Amino acid sequence: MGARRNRAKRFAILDFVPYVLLTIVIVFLLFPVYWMVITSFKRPIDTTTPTLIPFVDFQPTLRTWTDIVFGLNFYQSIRALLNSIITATVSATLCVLIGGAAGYGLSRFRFEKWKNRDIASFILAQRMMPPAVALVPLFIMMNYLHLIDTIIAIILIHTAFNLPFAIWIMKDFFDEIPIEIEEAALVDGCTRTDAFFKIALPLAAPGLIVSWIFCLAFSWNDLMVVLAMAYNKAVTLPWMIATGHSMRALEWWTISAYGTLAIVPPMILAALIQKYIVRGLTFGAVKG
Amino acid sequence: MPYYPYRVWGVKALVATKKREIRRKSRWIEKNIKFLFVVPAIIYLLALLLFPAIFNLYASLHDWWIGRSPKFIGTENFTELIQDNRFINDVIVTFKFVIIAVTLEVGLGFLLALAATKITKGVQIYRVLFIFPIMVAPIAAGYMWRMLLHADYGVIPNLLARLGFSRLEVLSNPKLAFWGIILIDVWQWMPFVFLVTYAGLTALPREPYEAALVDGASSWQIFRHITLPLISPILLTVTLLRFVEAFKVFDIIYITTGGGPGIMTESLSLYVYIQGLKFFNLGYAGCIAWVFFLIVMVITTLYIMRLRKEMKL
Repeated sequence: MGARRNRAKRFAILDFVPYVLLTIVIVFLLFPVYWMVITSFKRPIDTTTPTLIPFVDFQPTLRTWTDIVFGLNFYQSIRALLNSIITATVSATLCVLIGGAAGYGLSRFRFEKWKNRDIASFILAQRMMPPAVALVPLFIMMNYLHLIDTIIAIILIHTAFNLPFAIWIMKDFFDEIPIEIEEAALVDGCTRTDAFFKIALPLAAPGLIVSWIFCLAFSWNDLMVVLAMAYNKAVTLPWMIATGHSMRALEWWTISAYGTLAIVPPMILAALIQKYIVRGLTFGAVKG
Repeated sequence: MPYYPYRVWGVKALVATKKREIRRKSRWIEKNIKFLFVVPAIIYLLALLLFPAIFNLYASLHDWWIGRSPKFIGTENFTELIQDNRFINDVIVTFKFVIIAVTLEVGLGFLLALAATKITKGVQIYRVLFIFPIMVAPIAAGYMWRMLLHADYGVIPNLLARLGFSRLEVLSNPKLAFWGIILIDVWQWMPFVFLVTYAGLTALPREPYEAALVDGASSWQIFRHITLPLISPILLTVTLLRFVEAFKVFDIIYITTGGGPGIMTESLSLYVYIQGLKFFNLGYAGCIAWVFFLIVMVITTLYIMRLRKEMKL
């Protein structure tokens, strides 16, 4: 009897092991984020000491944030924030528009000369290419078009880099919608364009939202393109983080505030589409 | 027949031709609609992504600095590249980084996913929390860790000092800088592997397990002979995908070490960036870009073949 109870107890303890393990990992994953967020609320003097809990270890202050919004650098930080918002939303919208159409085309029609799968593979190969490879030519191209240091250049390039992703994901979503619905509409005298706009698009709305959010996050998080194309007018938040440490003495608190601004929107958006995260990030290979 | 003035007849005819034209146009649209859907995307991609490939090829065959006219030198850039110690170092660093980081990510992520399948309650919360690091901008991730690892102010050296270790500046230490970068990449992408493999594990069919339990197989046997074979396609997919993505590493290195100390943590992406947009040596940068592209293309092809199989294209 006693031995059996012991065994049961041992199993109960074993059952907790995964919880403990995962909780430790979660602490490891979230602690850096937590640290950055609280650093943005510390007085500069407190950032040099490892103090953890607001109100207990240190007195939180909004000074850094008011400095960013109203201080000496307010023009630059507000502009960076606006640039980030504009480039991310516009390029994501462009991606979804062009990519949605192309995804539908690849999903519904049969191309003879080049097979559908060859077009699709070609498109995905573009996505796999390291952006660094295309950076110098694109710089020369934008220089030639007098678009250096404009958000137009950044929007165009982000759209190009994220478009393959949008096409591929939209194709995956359209593949799931039964073709019979559209065929029925076509039989009833609906045109192809109507079938696309009135039937396929509304049915693929989750796909549209998912690919929009992903493209938005990719564009929002991108540093390399901005680093190459912008130096003053068109800078975004990642640029501010990247160059913040060389502008003046290393101001942990200021960069932490920029960092907090930069990481919060993608996190919220990702939490909204968490059902589709796996599917999106594996290009549809694994349906989460 | 009622009388219409000449003008009205003219308008009617005009309307009729316009209508016919619209009908013809819409018939043309209907006939070519499949191209209309796809062509804008193709043109866009060709303009902004194929152009760089051609440009790089052209530049790589020339001695070309920005602001000067290109001079044809044939394959001289490539012969120089093979002898360039910095380039060889960067190739080795990149491969080392990719292999070690991806192995750690896949290993740890898979183990955690296996542990998570044992959890019955609250797994949803863990899943949401695991998403966050993936979505953090790599530049912000690098910055966070730089702050945490700072020798004087950072939390981790402080903690280690309290435990009696010496304070180490991880990211400027020749031996440790590379591992610091690995740590940051694992921090960011291990959750991704976790999410994917967990999704795969929960979607496995139940019947083989029931059969194995009836036959009295041990849990190791079940894992070795049922779970592993069933999950291996997903493991392969996620490994290849991480391989492709890890080759692009730039942001983390840029913010934490800038390739240093010396060039010990410089990745190929960073080298292309430095040659092209710092030194403005277009020819040489194009040359590196091509070699880099070919390396990545091999793995990309493998991944796309995998995708085709997985999605039955």
